[in-house]
Amino acid sequence: MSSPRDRLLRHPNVRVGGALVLVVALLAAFGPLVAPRDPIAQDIVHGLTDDGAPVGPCAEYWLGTDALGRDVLSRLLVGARVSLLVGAAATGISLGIGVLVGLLSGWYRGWLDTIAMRAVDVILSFPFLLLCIALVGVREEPGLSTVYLVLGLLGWTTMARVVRSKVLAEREKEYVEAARAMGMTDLRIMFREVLPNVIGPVMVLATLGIAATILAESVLSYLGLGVPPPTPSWGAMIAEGQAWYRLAPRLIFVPGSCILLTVLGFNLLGEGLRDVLDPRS
Amino acid sequence: MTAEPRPPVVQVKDLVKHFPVYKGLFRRQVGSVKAVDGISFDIQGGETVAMVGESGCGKTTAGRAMLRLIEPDSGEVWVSGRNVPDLDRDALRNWRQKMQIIFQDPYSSLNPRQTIGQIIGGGLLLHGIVQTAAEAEDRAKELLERVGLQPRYTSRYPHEFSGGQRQRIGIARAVALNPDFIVCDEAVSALDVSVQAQVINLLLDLKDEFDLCYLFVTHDLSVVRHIADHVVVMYLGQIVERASRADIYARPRHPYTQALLSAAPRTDPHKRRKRVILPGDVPSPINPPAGCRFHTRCPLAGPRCSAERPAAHRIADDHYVACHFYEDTTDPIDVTASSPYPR
Repeated sequence: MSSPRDRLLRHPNVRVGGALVLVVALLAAFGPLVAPRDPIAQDIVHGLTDDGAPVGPCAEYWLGTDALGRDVLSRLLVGARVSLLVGAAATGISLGIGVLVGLLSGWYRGWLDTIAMRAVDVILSFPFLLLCIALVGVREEPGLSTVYLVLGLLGWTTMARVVRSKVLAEREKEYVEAARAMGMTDLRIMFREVLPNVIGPVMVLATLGIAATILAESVLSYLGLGVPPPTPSWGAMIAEGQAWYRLAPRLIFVPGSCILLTVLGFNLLGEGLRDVLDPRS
Repeated sequence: MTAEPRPPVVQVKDLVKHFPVYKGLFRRQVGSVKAVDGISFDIQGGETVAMVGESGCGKTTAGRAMLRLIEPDSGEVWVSGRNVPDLDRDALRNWRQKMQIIFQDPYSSLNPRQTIGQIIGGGLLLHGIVQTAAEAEDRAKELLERVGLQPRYTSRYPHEFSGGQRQRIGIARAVALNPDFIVCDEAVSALDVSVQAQVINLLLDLKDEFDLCYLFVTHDLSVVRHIADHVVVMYLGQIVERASRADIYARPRHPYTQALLSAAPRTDPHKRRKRVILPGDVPSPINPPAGCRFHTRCPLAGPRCSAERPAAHRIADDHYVACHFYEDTTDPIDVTASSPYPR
């Protein structure tokens, strides 16, 4: 048997996913420092063609400029922070709420379970985006914190359901009874005995959640409800670029690829973590 | 066994556990499953009491209710001098050290995410028997060795072991707290016969070494014959007969016990014997028969049996029978002729 740390570092999914996530995290941390230009400065003289179209990749603008003559590379580097922050913070919130609600609900059952699960049903019965738009509107000004709070407060429902169903299955197993016979408190059994057995699907769901929130943030930005312009975020970049998708498809594909790679990174990492955390693998 | 009788370590008096049955839109209670309906017996220190009966007779519920893994409805369960149903939450948690359980299923009874060291040592830390994780680990190693496994297995996970090995781990976990009393709930039923014998012998050795007493819940009469000092026979939530092992096998007095024993397989296929076959099925524990619960299937049943619940008659030292006709049952009766299922 090797130590969990060795197994973690040897797992191919963890290596690839971890590398991708690390790169994105570094970009988010240092992007603004290494960005070659000001991401919101418009260069009307050199950044646009004579027709007013964005210029393609060249020596001056490695990834070209967008419709307003801003440097795409700089915007990409700076935008990483928003996307990653929203993805991580929103998923963190929904993970915390979802695991707690699912654990309590599945463990205690009864009226607590009924209330929690009906609340989940109510939230899920609304179209997700519509609810987001409504909630974002509750706050006076759109901003980063509004986006991840709303996404986090709406995203925990699936997590809670998954955790609850796993807890319902686990609580009937004899090791739980053994823990009770040992004299452990309910809380201890829930968190120390049951939770580790529930964590597998939670890990996967959480990484998928990061991916989904990064996308949701881009949708909100696209609708003008995300981070207000001109602050760059990957989602907003796609939204702004779509008017030019025939002439300059890179305006969509470059930030799109970044989202894709980030999402892929988190998914691989999540699957790897699940495998490593399972002693049977 | 021992020359001088010690006071019983475990005393059960009129233990009752009914499970409510709900029905309909408003979940109205329409009845209850009388899983355990007033059972009483003692377990002396150093003794193994086997609780036998067919599926659904309430023997597992009885074991669980004694440990308050299921809350009993009423009755007393004295373990090492304290009445378990009276204990408040903290006192109960503390007293659990005195009473442990070994489970039937060696697969689901060990947490797959914990190492063997954590599983065995967890209770030691919890009850403050040891102070540090390192001490718990050391003690776990000693216990593993004692139950016949390698001490270095403490860092392994349950899935790396066979059923028999897992059961040994479950046993180590139970004895780790140095309890006075252990409920073995079908503890060897899931194992191969060869492994069964090893585990049973281990249990018997540990009993002497740790000064334990067992309640051995089982349906396997060959195991009972090997391990039990006393036998308690249950039928539909009640005890129909209890006696020393020798008495139960040589002189069973309740018609149900006689039928049960006649169904146990023997090693000699040529030895002919009377087989008592009971007519019908076990009645529902939701609506058990009035009077003696066995009267619907009993070859001796008379009018009195459906009216009056028989008391536990003491017919010899340590031999109690709950039958109105206990005086007439000295010879095992043959009901084969009148059975609807002739051989």
